[in-house]
Amino acid sequence: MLARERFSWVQLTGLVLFFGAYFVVVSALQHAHIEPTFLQKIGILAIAAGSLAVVVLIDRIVAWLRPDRNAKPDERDKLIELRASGVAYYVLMAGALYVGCYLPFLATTWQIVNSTLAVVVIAEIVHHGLVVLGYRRGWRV
Amino acid sequence: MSERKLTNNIRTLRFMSNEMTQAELGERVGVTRQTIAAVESGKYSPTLESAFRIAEVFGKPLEEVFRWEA
Repeated sequence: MLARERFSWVQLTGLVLFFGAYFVVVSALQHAHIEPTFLQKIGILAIAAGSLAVVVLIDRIVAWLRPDRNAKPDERDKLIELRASGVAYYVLMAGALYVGCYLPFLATTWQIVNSTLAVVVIAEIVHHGLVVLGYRRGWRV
Repeated sequence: MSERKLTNNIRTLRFMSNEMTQAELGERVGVTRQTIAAVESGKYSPTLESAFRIAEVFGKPLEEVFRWEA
């Protein structure tokens, strides 16, 4: 497996696991009408982001130890990245419009922050999901 | 227009070229082993430049390496 594909697998799994858990905790607190303090909110977010950062860092170290660490992306790598980024861009734009133009009239500040985070996470999941799909299934022109 | 699939003889040509590995071919063409594997299995259509380079490695014209599936 190429380092680029493995990186996308790691990112995809990490985002789904850690930020999935983060949003489950956040929505559970909201439904239970529990309002955490600012530090608690930042703490939960820091745990999710920190866990992802540690996993990604380990993957980068493993990639650096491999003999093909200086391998440049070839035409297929670039095509897969281009297509995945193109789709993820529209997901991000749609989310940005929703968060920026609709939510400010309805939601609290912290809900807007979490929604913005959710949009970024979803766009990243789409991006890395499509990269993985591109390497596994291939894309015919 | 009917949808036609592009196939190739890379696997056979590698075998006939002293069982050249995918990694060797990839190195000579300037792509990764995984890209050669994807081209061979029909999961990826190479750029025109890479297609010509692959044909050049085997010393064959392009149409002997790549062709439309019958």
